[in-house]
Amino acid sequence: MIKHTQHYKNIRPMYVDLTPQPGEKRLLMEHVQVPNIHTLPVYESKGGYQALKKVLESKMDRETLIKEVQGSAVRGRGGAGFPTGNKWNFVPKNTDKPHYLLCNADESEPGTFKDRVILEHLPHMMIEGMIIGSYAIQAARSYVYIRGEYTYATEIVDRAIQEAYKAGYLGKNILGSGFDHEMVVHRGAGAYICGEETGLISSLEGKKGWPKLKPPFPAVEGYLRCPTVVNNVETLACVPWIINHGAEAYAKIGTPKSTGTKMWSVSGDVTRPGVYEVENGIPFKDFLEKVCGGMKGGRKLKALIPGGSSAPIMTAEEAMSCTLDYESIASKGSMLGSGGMVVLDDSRDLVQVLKNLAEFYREESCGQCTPCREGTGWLEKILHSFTERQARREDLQLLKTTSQNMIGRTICVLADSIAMPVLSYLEKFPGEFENYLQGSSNTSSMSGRVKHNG
Amino acid sequence: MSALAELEKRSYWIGIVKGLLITGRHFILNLTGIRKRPTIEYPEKRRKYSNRFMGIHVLTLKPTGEIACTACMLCATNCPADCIHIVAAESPNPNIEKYPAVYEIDLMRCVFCGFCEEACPVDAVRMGRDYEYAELSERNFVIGIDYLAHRPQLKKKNVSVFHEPEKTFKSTVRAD
Amino acid sequence: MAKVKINGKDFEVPTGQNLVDAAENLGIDIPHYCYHPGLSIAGQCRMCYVEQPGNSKLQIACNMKCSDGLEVITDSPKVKDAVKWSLEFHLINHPIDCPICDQAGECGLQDYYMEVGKYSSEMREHKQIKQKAVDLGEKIVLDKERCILCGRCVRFTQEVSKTSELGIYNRGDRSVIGTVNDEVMKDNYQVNTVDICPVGALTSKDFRFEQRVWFLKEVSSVCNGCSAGCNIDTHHKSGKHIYRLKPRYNPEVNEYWMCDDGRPTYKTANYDHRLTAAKLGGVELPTNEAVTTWMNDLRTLIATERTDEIAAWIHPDLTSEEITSIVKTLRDEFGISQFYSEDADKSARDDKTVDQLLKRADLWCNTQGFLKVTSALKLKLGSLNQLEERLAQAKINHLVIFGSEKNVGVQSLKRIRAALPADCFTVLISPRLQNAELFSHSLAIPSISHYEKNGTIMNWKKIEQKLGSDFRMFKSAWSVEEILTSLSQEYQRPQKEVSRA
Repeated sequence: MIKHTQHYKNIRPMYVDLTPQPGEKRLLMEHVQVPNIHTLPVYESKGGYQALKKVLESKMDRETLIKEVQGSAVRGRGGAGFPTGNKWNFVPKNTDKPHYLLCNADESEPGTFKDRVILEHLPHMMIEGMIIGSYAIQAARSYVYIRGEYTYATEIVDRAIQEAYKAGYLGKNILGSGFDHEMVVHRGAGAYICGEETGLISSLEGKKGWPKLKPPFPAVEGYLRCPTVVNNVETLACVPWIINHGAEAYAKIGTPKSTGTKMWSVSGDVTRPGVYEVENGIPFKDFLEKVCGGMKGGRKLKALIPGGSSAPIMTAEEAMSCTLDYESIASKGSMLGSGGMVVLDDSRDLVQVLKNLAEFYREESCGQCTPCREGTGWLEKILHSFTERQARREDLQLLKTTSQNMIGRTICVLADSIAMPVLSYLEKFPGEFENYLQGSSNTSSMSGRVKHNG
Repeated sequence: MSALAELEKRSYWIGIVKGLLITGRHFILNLTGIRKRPTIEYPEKRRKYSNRFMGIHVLTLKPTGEIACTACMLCATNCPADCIHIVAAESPNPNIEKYPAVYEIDLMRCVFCGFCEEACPVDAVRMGRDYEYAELSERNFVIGIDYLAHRPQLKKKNVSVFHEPEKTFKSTVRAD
Repeated sequence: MAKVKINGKDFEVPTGQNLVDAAENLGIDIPHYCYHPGLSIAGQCRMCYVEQPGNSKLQIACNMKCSDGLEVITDSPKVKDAVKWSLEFHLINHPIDCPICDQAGECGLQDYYMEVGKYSSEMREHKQIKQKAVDLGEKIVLDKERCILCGRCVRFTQEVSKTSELGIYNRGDRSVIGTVNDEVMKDNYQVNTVDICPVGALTSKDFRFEQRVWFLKEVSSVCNGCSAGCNIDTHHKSGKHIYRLKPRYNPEVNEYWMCDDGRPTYKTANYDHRLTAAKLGGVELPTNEAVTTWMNDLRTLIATERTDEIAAWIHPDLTSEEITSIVKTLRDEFGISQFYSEDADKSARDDKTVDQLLKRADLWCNTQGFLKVTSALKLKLGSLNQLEERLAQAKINHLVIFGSEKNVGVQSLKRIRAALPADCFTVLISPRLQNAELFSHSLAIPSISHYEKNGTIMNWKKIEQKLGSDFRMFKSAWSVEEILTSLSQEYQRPQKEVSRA
């Protein structure tokens, strides 16, 4: 039991209005407003742990279970969008090494706060999904790696796990099936890079949170060089519904390639920012008008960042013409990512936005490989000179070539996470940068730059 | 033969007068300054040489007064006569990392080619304008930092064009 | 063996060998900083890109092992451009320290800068400022700005010397190498990190500012610090002064490393520790005259059949060839029968590892070779105690001492000196000035130091290793073989009998 209440004074739950909005389709968040749904008795009264009982009491074959999840075509909800069933299938079946399931609750992607709702209100759904997932990949131990800043959520999750132990859903011989499982909560310490799957594994091993080289992949050699599967909180929370209602029912919702629903954490210039769960494939226009209440103050939409700050930016035309699923957003050059949507109206200065993001990525780069470590710093310094009106015309081309030479050249994708947005801003909003060049007091290439607090 | 030539053959003083006239002509032209002589009255008058004249080397100083040379030994490497001897050391000034404790040029070996000036990355060694150097012993032709950087003829005009920017350099190597 | 294809050509390489190593053995250079064959794979520097046909993303070669059917391209324009930009990223925060940096001339950044050709940097912003010239103890200076964060030193202290003294602190471009709480480094293998550091971030205090690297020549030799016999390269300038020793790869003896106690062993070869001219009672004379003087005294004793009054003292640092020539000349040719030496048997018996890595307790470098040669030549050896006894009994009139250049033999020499009677003619053959000062009244003939020798020594595992040298530091210092050959020639020269005064 983690006893940290006496150390932290400002533990509060996140304030978010969870009233259902028209246009939402709630599979996970169906009962989120029920008081005390984060406790076991209330969760069980609303049909909780039925899926676990179904799997364990019928002693469902692990292959069948994985096939069920594969059949639902649910994709990873953390950002990469990799089909979860396939990931579970990669774990080798006949090794003597222990297997591990890691739940990635290190939600650090800027703009994303949807996992927090699950952690604070529906921890048992996540726990149930984890136990089912561990059963599928034959993991005797699983870890919830929860970011250090989520102090309240950590306590909720920890209590939920203790309740599960008391009820016999965790521990030895769960529900008489012969399956033993231990679940441990591990707190992070404030690093974005520990949300990357191999960074998480390194941090859990007690080392510096540095991502590992791939190959070998975590499903073969991960935590302590044993087969490991890392899944997002929302992905694991989808699993009980899939087991309860069947893979076909899940696959019918959404689009053929993006099945099911997605929880979106909307922030920015909308009337009703918050966390909403909608069916995949809903047009963005409807989502904005019906679910989020339209633009705040009736302003015009200028740009949209659909999936957390790592997603390339979309212009207003592209956003209004796309539907909220993986393929449509990808076809516009962006990515659905984690579902951290940031809506920008025409009062926003996009160069400032980009510089803000660059500061974040420079701070969070782990520093292991050279293109990211030096490139994030360089990009931030160039953007700083833009906002200080000291940029040169060549800096535009420099931003472009630097970003192009960071993509695909690094151990993990943090470099891509800043380089691709920079390229998208340059391509789609060149006028914003021109404004800063017009007023620039620096036209020669050898004059001194504003001293930047490195 | 004419009468004048006869006379010249027989008397010696005509030849003498003719010769003396030539000598006298040179004498008058030189003495009165009508002819421009290439010879000048050194040491009262000295020639003016161009700014590119390669004389005895100069070691430049930083604006703060320390020697600009960082003892990188590129000049010694580039020298075709192998006449530069450098011993690098830790500088007593905590803001400078490396400086030459010994910098000697053997003027007897030096061919005054200027390769050292070309090689120096920090404008520390230059070919100066001095050419007067006479000593009684061969040993005295090896000149050190005192002569190269601090001789009075320089009149403290040898400041390097590269300045050290304001930078914090903290060294913990020195025992003091 | 695996069949791989590099740049369109087929090669056969050992299966499982790292691609960077395999390419280097084939003469194809793949630029790299963080990869080192003696350490684990990091993949941090991102310089060793290669292209695999069919894969649009470039791969790093250090993470690839050679297997059948592997096909890579290292010289396509895409790879070259990627390497250029990787070098650019390395250089954007690197301080322009080349004039004051000791690594100039053997610097990884300088080498690839010339090779890869990214001559003009496009970085116009201010560079990161970090601490410079940090004192990490008696042996190493750290410059945090120059560090390119390849991680080799950190991996070395974790995997090889197992002290984990170095680590990487902070994130991103504020990352620095450092020790816990800025403590000094204490382990005996720390200067290896200076060898593996590709830039001038870690530099050796012993070599700091001594000399520029391009003036130095390398000669392969073997360290004489202990019986481990680590293979080294001697770095000297024009054969006049030795500046440092660096380990050389030998998979059976020392792999890529050497201990720090062996590194200063070159100092005894340099001018301040050397006997540079033969001396007789403190007066200098040419070496050939010294040999003649020696022969004069020896001849008398040989002619009058008093060879039992002659004794010789040898030590286990001599190479096997030197011992052979000593025995052949002194015993076989001149009939000297009394040989005394350090207790090599005891050194060999008490020899064990000191720190589970390389260093050993036996500080003589050729104990095994000494034992092997002396037993093969059936040389009867007496101990130091027996020599002292005979000296005390005034039974020795002519003593030949072969002195080592190391501190290890000094105790024995002091005891001999103390027991030496005043009228005993002593000949000291040693490179070491202090030995000559100890025997200031005797004839001292300078011999060459260990790093100038050509010979064979045997380490504790009985592996024979060659000392190769191509320089002589002092004209008057001859090798032991040369001295004895000259002595023998002198003996054979017909001459008038000179009576012993």
